[in-house]
Amino acid sequence: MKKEDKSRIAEALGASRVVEVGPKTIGGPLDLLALREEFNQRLRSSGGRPTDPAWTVTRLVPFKEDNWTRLQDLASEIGVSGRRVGPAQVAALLIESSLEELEVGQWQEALEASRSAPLRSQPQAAEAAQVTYNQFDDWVQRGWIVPAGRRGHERSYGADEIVRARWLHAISRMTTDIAAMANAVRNCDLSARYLVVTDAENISTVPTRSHLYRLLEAPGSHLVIDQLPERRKLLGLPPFPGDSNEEFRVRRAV
Amino acid sequence: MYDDTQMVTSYVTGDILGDHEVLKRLRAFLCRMGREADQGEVGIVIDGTYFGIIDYNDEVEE
Repeated sequence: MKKEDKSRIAEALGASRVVEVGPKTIGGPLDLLALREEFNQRLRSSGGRPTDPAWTVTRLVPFKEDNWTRLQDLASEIGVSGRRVGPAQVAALLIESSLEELEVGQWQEALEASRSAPLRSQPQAAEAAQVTYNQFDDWVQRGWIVPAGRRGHERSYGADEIVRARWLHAISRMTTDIAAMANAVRNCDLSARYLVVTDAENISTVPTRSHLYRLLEAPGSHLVIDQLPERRKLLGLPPFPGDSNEEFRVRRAV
Repeated sequence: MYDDTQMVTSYVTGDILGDHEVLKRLRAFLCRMGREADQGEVGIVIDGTYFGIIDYNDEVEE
């Protein structure tokens, strides 16, 4: 949930306190329906037991006995009115789901923190976007980058516009007709983590890694830009959580 | 004194929570529950976030 949505709901409910209780766990009937639907979409048969073609790595993993029983129960429940699946397949999907939730949490945190960060002057924004001041200014004049605030002649920019400038810079390397792409970049939903440029002409954004993988299955050449490292860099953090990048530590210390 | 915790799970689409009138009725219901069950606090968890209410005012469920 977005920060502004939380504030709006808290105000409407007259809440005296708002506490994060962590990501949801799978346990309700709708979660089972979602699992069943996920299996229906992903499993493909090529003669043997249907499987997800992306599951190419096989590993021997030990389970607690009661957990294995729960996986068997879930597999039976899913198989009642959906595809027949095995407990190990349920385990694989649950692991993917948990990993994705973890990533979504990290992404939301970086998104909200970067959007709440102080605005930057135009020279600072150009530097953060790693483009020249003149290039940045040209995009501003064309309306491809929009300042969040103005004071006299000074303009200031939020993280979203710096990310847009980074995207324009990346796209400008693969096409000479950036004007045709700039409006699409302008209309992109920046709360979705990944930007995908297909065949140097179609632009879309996708929120999660699994959406991204599905999009990449389509034929064509794809440029993918992940916003997470860019947003974290704007916050002075290593590109990925848990990344003990020595260079960043030294830079921050200096 | 502690009561046994009772949890009610409900599924709605995200759009519904954008409707101020719905949130107003939800607050009225929660306040009535807190008042009539004589609770110090009632709360609701929406998408992993807990909203706790202790001030019931004079909200009336419509």
